[in-house]
Amino acid sequence: MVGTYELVVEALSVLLALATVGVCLYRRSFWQYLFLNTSLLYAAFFSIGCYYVRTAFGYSSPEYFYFYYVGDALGTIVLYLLIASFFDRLLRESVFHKYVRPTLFIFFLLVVGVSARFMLGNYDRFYSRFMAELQQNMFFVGVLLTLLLWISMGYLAAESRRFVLLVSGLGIYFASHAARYALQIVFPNQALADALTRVPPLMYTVMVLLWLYAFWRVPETEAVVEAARAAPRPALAKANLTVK
Amino acid sequence: MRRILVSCVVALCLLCGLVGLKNLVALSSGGNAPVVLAIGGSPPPPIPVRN
Repeated sequence: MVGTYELVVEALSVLLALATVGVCLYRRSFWQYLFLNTSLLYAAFFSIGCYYVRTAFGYSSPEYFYFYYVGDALGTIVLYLLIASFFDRLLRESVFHKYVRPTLFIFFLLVVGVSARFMLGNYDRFYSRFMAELQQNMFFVGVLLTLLLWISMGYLAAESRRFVLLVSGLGIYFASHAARYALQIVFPNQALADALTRVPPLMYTVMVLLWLYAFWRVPETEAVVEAARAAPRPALAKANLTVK
Repeated sequence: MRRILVSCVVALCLLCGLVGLKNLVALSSGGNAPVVLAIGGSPPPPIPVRN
């Protein structure tokens, strides 16, 4: 059942996504963050489409079911491209940069191949099963790559605060899914499962809000170290005192 | 050639990680739990129950 909460979150997600794209256009960084803007525009139009299909056919209709899951599977591919672009950006100065694009391209082909391999023998419902399988696999790919991205970012000491905020947004989004699954497994309760289903759309909206903040308030050139300088860690402060 | 070979090896390692992670979740949940992502803020449709 769709209530006020769902409608508010849906409307907020569309407004924030369009606002973020608008800020990117205003700051002239649309092409620099092309995949991020593409994913935001895709999500905004997908949400509008969901609203239209839901009001036309009903929340429990098969039309809405297939529209949602097929659209979501395509959305995960757009998200994959976004994570790949983050990797490309992070490793730009690294010796591994030349391996990023071919690796992620081959990995994507492998994931599609594995998804299709699992479906062989189910030719009667190949398309719908394939989309569900691909969506699941792309979700786990998103979790895995965001974790690797976060580890690489810490290891390579990313300099741009805006970039760190953008990756953190992705982390919040995927972590909410992981936390939701963990809670469902630990507490197998239908009421809790229904309540937790409401969390991912909200976390998506929080991610877009963080991205909007990153583009609106944080300049591209602002370094991460400035924040660290403003609030020095106790160990560093102690070291400075000892030197003096 | 070396670039492609290295990329293939890394991609295969990532695929192993993916399959391992997915199997781990499937084992923990005791079945093949449907993944409900939310690209956008729309509420996910209810999963139809099979009779």
